[in-house]
Amino acid sequence: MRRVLVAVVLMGAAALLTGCARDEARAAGAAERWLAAVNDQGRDNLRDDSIERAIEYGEQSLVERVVLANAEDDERHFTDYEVGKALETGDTARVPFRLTARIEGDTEEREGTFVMTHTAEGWRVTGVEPRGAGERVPSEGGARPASASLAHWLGAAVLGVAVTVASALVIRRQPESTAGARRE
Amino acid sequence: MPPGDHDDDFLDDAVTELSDDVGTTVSPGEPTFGETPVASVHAPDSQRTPEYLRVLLFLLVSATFFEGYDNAILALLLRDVQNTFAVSEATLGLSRGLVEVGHFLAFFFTRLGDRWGRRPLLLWSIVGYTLCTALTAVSWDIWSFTLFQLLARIFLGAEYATAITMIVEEFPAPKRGKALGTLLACAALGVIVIGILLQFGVQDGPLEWRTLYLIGLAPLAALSVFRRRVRETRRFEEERVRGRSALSKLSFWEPWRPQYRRMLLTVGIIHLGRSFPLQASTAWWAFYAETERGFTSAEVGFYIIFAYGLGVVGYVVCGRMMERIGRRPTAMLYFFMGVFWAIVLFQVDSKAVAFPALILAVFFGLGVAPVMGAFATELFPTHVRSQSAAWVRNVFEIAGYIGGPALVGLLGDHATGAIGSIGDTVSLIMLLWLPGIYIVWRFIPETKGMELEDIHGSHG
Repeated sequence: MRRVLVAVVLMGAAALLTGCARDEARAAGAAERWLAAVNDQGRDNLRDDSIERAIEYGEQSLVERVVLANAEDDERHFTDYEVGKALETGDTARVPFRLTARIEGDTEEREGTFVMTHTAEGWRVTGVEPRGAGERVPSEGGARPASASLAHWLGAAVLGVAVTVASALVIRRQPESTAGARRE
Repeated sequence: MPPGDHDDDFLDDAVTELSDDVGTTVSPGEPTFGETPVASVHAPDSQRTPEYLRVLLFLLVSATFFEGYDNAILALLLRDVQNTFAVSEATLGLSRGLVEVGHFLAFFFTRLGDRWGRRPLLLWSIVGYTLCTALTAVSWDIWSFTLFQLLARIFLGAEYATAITMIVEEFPAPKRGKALGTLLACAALGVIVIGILLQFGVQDGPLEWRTLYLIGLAPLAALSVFRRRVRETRRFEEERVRGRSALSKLSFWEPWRPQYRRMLLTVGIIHLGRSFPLQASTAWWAFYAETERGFTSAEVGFYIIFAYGLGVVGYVVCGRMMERIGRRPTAMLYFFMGVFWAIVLFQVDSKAVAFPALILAVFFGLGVAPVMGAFATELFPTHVRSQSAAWVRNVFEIAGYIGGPALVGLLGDHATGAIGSIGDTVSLIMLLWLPGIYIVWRFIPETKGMELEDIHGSHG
């Protein structure tokens, strides 16, 4: 009986972990990963690894469109960055972004929109353009790249109730404790 | 040879040596072979002097201070460490996971407190932590860094659990909550100090992040001054006198015996139910604020310093409240408010609302630690207190340390997570804290104003 219970728990955990991830990256997520890899190219000792990562999600030739010529030496290129919700049209998508670039002794705000193309490997950054009308990142009032659905919220509430019931049942099955304090 | 021929030797061997301030009464009549002659020690309500308790608290706060301090270094300077050793994020993630394993391993060290005593475990864990922290400062690659931090976590975990146990065993009931509040508030102070040091650019100095680990040598200096003034707890001494042989043979599974199992499960579930969402939120807030709310790194640093600075009052208020209105109502109030303000924090767009929400989330979410510490210690008898606290802290609670942040990473990953939003994922996980309110209300006994002897009978 105990082995069956352990097997059920393990199978449930495996199913849960499988359900935690999508097979393919979202367009906005791929744009953010490309930006993160470009960011790391500012550090000398991280450059080789981060170029490899950037190539996975976009064109390396586009780096100069987001990194300034007078970027701070041996520092990450940006102090912070943010992407907005992707607007998908067939195999292309537009993802607005905002970043704070490190330049020698100072910083500079930059913004734009990544043009994404869906390929056999997933979404890739294939262009950088000025923002279009209504394209905003979340901190400017734009939509978040993704958010929980009503089903997620209901599922969490049901899980909370299930955890409560299961915990109470497990506790009740145990013999009374010797801790003899009063319950007020 | 009959024992009566060497009565003096026999008595010398059998009597446990007690410190001068421990009153003893010898059983009337002739001791028989194998009988422990000391029958009783102090009255249960006897107290240490206020001066001694102050010194003890001062030494113990180093445990909680460096708990917050070390966690803050890893949370805020991981990228600097990554740069120094030129490793990928995957390697960094593996290193971080291995370091957290130290919290689990601390369990095996902490349980020795019921065998060696609280004092030796405290002193050795301070020495071990200090040495490992200093060695971290001279680590030469990511794996040496990982090893030294893992070892430091083992000693720090033991130090933390022992500190709480000593507070519970040494402070009289009316002052216990306040002392726990003060002790645990220092964890938040550790975070604040890191925030301030980062604002001053200590990490950009010649030794970079290594400087922050060298500061971890400070407890050794305090230890050299106060080592001789710290005594074994009276309750442990009494327990040792009552049954030294039983103490030395305590099973690894002792807290799971039928008479303690229900309470261990109850307290353990409450700790897991809190640490899972709490660690999910604290580990990801800075990342969330920067990538989903457009905070600059400077704003994140500012928010952390002020939120922890003001939120630290939550620990002190909790300590006072648990003595005034009781452990259970305090815990239920803090749980509910902690969930509420954390969800507000991870849902609102406005920075003006996020700032007070962060303060209140720290106030209630982290500030409930004193009452959690009381649950993990007061509700178990002295001879299994350290072991029970170790199970609760190093198994149940630490499972949340690893599971909570990992689940947020999986579900909230912007590219491949099923939800794709850190803010929403943390908010959903926060709902899993609410069952704790029911479990506290239904299954935890109230111990407000009670000495340990009142809770567990004469054996405290």
